[in-house]
Amino acid sequence: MKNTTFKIIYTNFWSHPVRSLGLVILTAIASASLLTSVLFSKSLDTGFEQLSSRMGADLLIVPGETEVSDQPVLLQGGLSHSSLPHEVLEFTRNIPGIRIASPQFYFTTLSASCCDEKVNIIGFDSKTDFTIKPWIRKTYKKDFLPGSVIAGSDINIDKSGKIKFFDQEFTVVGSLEPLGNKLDQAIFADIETIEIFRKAAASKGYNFISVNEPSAILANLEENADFEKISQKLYGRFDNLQVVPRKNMFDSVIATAASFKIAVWAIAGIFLLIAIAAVTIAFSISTNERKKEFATLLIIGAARKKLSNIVLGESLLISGSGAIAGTLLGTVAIISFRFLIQENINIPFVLPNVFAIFLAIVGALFVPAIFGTLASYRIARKVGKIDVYTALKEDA
Amino acid sequence: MILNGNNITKQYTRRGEKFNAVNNADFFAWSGDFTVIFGESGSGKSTLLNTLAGVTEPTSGSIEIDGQPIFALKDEERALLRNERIGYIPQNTATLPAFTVAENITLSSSLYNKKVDKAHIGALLNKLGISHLANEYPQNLSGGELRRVSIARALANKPDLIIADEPTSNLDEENSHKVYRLFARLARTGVSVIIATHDKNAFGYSNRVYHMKSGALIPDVGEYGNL
Repeated sequence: MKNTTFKIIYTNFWSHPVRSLGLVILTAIASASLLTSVLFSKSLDTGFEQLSSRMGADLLIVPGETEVSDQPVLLQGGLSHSSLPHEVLEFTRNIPGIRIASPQFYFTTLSASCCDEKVNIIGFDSKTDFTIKPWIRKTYKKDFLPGSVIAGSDINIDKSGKIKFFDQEFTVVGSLEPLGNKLDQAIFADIETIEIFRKAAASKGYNFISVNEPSAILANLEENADFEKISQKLYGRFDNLQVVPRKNMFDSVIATAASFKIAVWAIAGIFLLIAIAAVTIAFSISTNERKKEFATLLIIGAARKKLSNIVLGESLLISGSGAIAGTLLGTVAIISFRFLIQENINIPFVLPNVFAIFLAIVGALFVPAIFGTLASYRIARKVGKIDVYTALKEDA
Repeated sequence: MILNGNNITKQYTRRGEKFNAVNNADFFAWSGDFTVIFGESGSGKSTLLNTLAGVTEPTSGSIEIDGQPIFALKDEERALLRNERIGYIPQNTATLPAFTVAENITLSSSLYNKKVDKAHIGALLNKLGISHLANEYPQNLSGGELRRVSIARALANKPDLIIADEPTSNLDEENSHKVYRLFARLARTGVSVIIATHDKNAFGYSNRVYHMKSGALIPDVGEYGNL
């Protein structure tokens, strides 16, 4: 395209600023909602993948009052603080078909040096653990020494690398990758460190944990082991517990995530359709008003293809500007509000890696720009076939 | 330059019925000719000029410039031919409203990134009495001023064929004669001028006259023709 063509496109954009900017804003909204949908869906997928890989247990044993069926409490990091009788762990380990069983301990401190809010502490047995340790091993490779803790990704650690609970200092030896739920605001410690916690708490008059009474037991089964038989054995021996199979741990998470995805994609689709319709209608009106202008260009020697290109160029300018603005807006919005989203949707939400974000941005840039331009394609072709005599006569 | 039109027919459909706006017209013009096509409104003059200018393809017949059938050219080639060789002044004044008068006039040059001959444009504006309007926008101009802008734009690229449809329709008698004199001077330099009009004042400047009636083009050999 030549400079004059650009000038015609540019001057026409600004000759109807309200209409042009209105279309830009509409396309920007479509682009932003598209980007948000892609990133939102990817973030849910990433969060779920991380959660799923962390929760590599075939079954979960929790106290009876834990509302696992309504809300996957443990998976979301909304921790239950009740505990199981101490005999459950040994009993579980001895059930035929159980390959491994490992306890976990959940409790909350009322105050800590790191944080304004209360902090969740999660204890695990490093000798038997198979769910937390692999996750921790991604960032921390050394031994779990007594008195050392690993911090969730959202825990602020000062330069000293120490954190204080009940006036007892603990050494933070590593920080974890984000999970996208409240576990990012938790402290993880081996069972020996949990005992130090317990003593420090007891010295302050708090006797709320016992390393003999775990909050949950996670187990993996032998191949061909029968979950029903195992759970019947547990239910036959203990009254106040629940045995949750792996499938049920994720059911409500998957269902909730699917609903959110459908909602955000529907919103993005609606905005995209509205933007396409608006561009089509606006360009149809605009080109009708400008028939004389196009006829004039033909008369002075513009090829018909150039007339089509002018219409497509105007459409691309509007759709492209909207797509750029929308992509910027969408990126800033989802990055800025990700914590708020994590807090409110109550399911794992972790932004995907930089490459996936980049791809989403490219998609959000090009899809509305291309759809917006294509929306005016039929009109551009019509303009390219304009009859000079009729065009000049019509609004003489 | 030789413009030769043979058996030109342009058919339109009006209320479901076909009619020939131009019917088997034969037309011929040399370099240096000042040709007037005289006829009532609706006789087909504008349609004929549109076909001669290469903007409307005839239903049948051929139009050749220097032996080249112009509708055998690709659209881009024909567009370039219009830009370089034909200055067309349509009946209804048409400009680009977001461009100034000067920008409208130089549009035919800038469309193909050609260097604008400022001295030539300045002289044209002076001759047409619109040099003071160069930086105005078309919406601030009267009908007569817009008509003169159209004429200046058609002449900006120094075409060797000028086709003008009622070029003096919005002009007073003095300005009409000014335009005719300008066309006559151009014809003397070898430019072929074709105007469609019902202003009989044009006959005094022409050397060839055609009459147009109900789509038929009839060479005038009588009262006004072949001076």
